[in-house]
Amino acid sequence: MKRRSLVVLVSALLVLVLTTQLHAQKIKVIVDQDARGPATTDMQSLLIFLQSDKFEVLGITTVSGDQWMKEETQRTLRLLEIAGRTDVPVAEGALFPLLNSKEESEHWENMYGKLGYKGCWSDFSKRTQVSEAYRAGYHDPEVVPHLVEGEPHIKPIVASAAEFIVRMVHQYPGEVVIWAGGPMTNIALALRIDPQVATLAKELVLMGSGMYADKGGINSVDGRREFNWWFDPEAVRISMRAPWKKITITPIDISVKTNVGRALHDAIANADTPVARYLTQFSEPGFMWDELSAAALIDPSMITEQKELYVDIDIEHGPSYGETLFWGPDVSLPSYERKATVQFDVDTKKLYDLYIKLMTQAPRKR
Amino acid sequence: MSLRLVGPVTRRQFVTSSTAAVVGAGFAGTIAAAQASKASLSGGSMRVIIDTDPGVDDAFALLLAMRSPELKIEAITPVAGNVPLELTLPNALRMVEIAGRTDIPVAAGARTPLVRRLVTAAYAHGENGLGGALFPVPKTKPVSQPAAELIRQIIRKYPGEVTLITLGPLTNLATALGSDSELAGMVKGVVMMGGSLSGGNITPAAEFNIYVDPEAARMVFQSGIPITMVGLDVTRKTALTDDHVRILSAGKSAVSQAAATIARNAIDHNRGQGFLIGPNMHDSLALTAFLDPSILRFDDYYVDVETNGELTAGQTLGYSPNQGDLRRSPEMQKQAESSMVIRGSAPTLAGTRISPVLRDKYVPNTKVALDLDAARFFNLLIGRLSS
Repeated sequence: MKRRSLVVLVSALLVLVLTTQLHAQKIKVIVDQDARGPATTDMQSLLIFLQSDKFEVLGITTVSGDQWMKEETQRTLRLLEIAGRTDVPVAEGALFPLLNSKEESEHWENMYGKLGYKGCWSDFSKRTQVSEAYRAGYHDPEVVPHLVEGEPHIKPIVASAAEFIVRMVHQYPGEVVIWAGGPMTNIALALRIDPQVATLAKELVLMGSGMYADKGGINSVDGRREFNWWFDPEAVRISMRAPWKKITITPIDISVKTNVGRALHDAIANADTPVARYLTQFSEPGFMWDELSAAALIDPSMITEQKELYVDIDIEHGPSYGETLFWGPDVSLPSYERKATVQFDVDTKKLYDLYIKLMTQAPRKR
Repeated sequence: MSLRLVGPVTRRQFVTSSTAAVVGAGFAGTIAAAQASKASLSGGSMRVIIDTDPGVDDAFALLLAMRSPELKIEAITPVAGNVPLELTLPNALRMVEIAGRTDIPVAAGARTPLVRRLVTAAYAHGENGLGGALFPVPKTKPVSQPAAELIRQIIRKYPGEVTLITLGPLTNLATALGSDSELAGMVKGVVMMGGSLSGGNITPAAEFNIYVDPEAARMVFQSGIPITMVGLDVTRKTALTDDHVRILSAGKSAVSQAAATIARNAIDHNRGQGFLIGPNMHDSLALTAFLDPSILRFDDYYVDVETNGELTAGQTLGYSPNQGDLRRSPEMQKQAESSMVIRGSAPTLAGTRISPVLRDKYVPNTKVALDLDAARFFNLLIGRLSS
């Protein structure tokens, strides 16, 4: 064989090996999200997973929280069409949390004051200075309002979210990152269907809980009453006491150090892609709650401070229902209490640069 | 903005909204009446899923079910309860093999209740769940699907046709309902062994199945699915006797022999514990409520489950306009029904409620069995097992 052909052949082989290695290094992730839309932190975090070539998104599972699950599912399906990622399956999850309810939250408010944010149990119709999508009134769980971003044509899969999670961790033992951006209801149901979910998954990564923050909680000054965890405390209790190999938590504390502001908005508005147009049209300023958790999976170095803490939740149906409980790593506790890596500070420049890069690029095929 | 309904409004909403009274009238629609017309053997047309934690009386009920040709048993879904899942699963497989019905899929269910630690009843069922009766290790394997998934799949395949016969804690059903908001509307009904309006067994307040997973039980009672509750009110009167054992021993079939073995061991186990009578056939009676409801007498109640109690968690409370110390004239009875409120405990000063009223309307969700013809029950049970 001629020397030149040999070099070409070896190079081709090397490229083949490298690309399969790259492919093999993709993080397999199930994205569980209370996907309120259009835009919002929920959708923007989905876009991070969809746009980045670091992930193999096995599926998106929806759960009631910021909005009711049925509406969220339709908005997620529409997002996939806009982002050119209709290859990603969407599985419908829990419509209601395990035990908490709108009625119970209203009884609580009678005693302990109005909560500033209650997700799908809220009525935002009196808000001013926000776009139509953020001024939704309360609607019943089964209702899906007209989608300003367009009605989807694709459908969710038949399997429920919990079934899908169970199936995936068995199909890819030790590989699947379960990422939870909303209440933990689907995760808890999956664990009760099959407790092996915790040991077969690679890691649980979640946005939720709050420790020392004095803003961002759902009644302003109490950072330990964080929305995702408060919406379904029993689901958090089930999830946080399962024997995961690793738990990573993005709490309120770090989220409120970020901001989707005007500068970010303008940088994205310059790009002319379906995703950038979607964001430019519908995105509102706010904290980067869920985007931060997703971005940190791509570049962990953006997290500049994190601590190992034991983390649990109060599920007594009294004044502190849904509040985060946490202890230092050296406290002696029963074995069912879990240690988590809790993120506390972020290099916002790294975060915003990555965010702009991902949101302005052309959509990727899997 | 224009709204469109994606699907039928869930029954859960019906039960929580005050318009429930209008719809509720259709619910107390009677599993019992529907079955009375199908009580005669009609060749395997009544689709059921049997959720169970064998368990001595569960084992009997499984054998009875597999000896009832009018049933089409779509699946058996063991759950942790009387004994852990590590035992209830193989026990269920054993019963399926003994009855020669390995065509029935058996799917592994929940290992633990939703949010509580598992409390078992080995004191009543023996360490192996069958009163100490020994059977070979089953060769049959469970299907790979978890129970909640299989339940969901079957109900969606036959919407409106499948009755869930629940003989253990309600964890599997609650998990399936929680994971799929449309499922409740597709379940034909639940016939449950569980609860009591007249005091419990494992505690003075609670019957064992509801005691083990009160949160799951509440989810089922609040789901809007029509429920037939066969609890301790009637199952207390179904004690197995030596005579029954004698008849079963004389039966030729593998089922009859197996039932006799379990019965003998269970009665001995009971005597060993100092009890004067044999174990009660709770689960077989629940199944009988489905096979031949004329053997029992039912009454309508709105049933809810105590989940908060330090001493009383798992208690089933039955609300009815007929309760209370004073009797009403018939004309006033109708009015009482429409104006009755559902009350919980008096609110504490520090609690989150300010009124004891939980619901402003009485909407019966359950037919509770209050009396039975024990002789007819045992005729059916022992008759079918020993034939």
